[in-house]
Amino acid sequence: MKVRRYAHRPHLFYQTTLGRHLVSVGIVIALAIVITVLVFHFVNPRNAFDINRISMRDILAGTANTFYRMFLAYILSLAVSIPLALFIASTPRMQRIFLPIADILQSVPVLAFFPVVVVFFTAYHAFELAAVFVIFIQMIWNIVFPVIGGLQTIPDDVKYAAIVFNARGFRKFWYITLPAIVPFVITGSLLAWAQGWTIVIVAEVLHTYIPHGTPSQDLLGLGSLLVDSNARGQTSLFVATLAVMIALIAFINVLVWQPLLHFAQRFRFD
Amino acid sequence: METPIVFTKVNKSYETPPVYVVRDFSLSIQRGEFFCLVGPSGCGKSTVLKMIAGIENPSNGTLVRPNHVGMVFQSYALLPWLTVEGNVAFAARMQNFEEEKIKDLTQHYLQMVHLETFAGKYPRELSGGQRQRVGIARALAVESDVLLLDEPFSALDPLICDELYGELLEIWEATKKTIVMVSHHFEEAVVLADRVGVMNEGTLKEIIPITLPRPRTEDQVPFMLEVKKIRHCLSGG
Repeated sequence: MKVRRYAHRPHLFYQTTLGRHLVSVGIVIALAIVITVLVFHFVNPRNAFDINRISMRDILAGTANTFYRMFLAYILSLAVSIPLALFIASTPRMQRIFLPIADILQSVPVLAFFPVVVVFFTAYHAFELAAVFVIFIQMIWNIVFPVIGGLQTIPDDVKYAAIVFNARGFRKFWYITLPAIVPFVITGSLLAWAQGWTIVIVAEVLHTYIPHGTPSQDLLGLGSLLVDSNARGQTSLFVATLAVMIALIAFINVLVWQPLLHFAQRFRFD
Repeated sequence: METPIVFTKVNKSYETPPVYVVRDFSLSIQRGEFFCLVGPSGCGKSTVLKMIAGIENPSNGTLVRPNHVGMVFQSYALLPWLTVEGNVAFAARMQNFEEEKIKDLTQHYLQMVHLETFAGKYPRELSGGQRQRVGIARALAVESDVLLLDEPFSALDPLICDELYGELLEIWEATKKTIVMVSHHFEEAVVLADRVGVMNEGTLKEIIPITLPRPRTEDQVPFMLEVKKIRHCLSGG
């Protein structure tokens, strides 16, 4: 008789062993380091730059800055959009009330209120927060709507199974709802980052939104380098910055989004 | 004998003004019985099952039902991100059993449905029949006295169905559970059940006891007569 053996493939949200606890601890430590670096960066931003004297080091610093802003805005978007989507999709009545509101809000172009945002944040010298806030606003709806759609794809029988097997409250969220929305969070995140890359170019060039602003008020980043180098006719700097931006986007796509999209397949209902 | 499920003049409506999907429904199911509800689509049989499961509540009337049940669904309702083992363990885990017991129950019921070598596979890697076996093992892992089956074989081909009928009867005999099944196949009901409740337009028309010895096969004359009785009842004769 032929005995078939299958490798044990644990579920991310489910199995618990010492090894997996250690991996979790490692992830938490790594996240803590990233957050510390981010906080340090925001307390001590390196934003002063002279567009006429840009070195490769400045471009790399700008790349890191832009990535930090995008990453922070994304984390913020995730933290807000998933509870918001769960809230909106919680009952048909909630959907009737809040879906049209969300639809109108996502239709308002973020640049329409960017000057107000900039004026508000610059009053507190929070230039970084102004950029992050605008990227966040641009990102959030790209996650909210796919997640609402994803919640509606959970089959009725699975919802009934949750009731019958006594999976309620947080346990229902952890074992059923959260895994079920994973593919939609991932596709939404992909769209959110794509939108983020578009808006970051504007979000870093703050001086155009500040009354009597000067380029010295811009945030060092790929967006500001692109806009300012173009404005001053510095073609080589423009091309170099664009190349770095394309390389970063391609890098993230290959190393993050493609594996995540592949991973998401296992969470889809047939 | 104790009756774990008793409906007394139960009505169920969904809309205002009320449109009744179940009307004046009275039924008592005995412990250890295999009861099957049959009827055409939309006659309210799945609603009755949902009321037993606690998914729906009656609009009025009295219902005695168990606190927790195991349930098998027509569409399997398996969680695609969990392995076969994970799906079965999930149901046990939700009952707050200890990890050791969850492990034992999972192993025991996977063996019972002959899927122990598929423990590490994902639902999408299984055939329809295998998925439904996982569904049955998961429902058993709840360790309830009552097992509900909502048209569990309607998506499967006849050969697989015949195989699963035999397995289900073996499980029933081994576990002594009360089984309530909903089906729109009269032959399936006669093969499996002790009693068949015939439903139409929300009401229970008749309860037909099936006294044929098991195993029952469709080519026996008494079998055909029982099926004819159900048909006759539904055609209003």
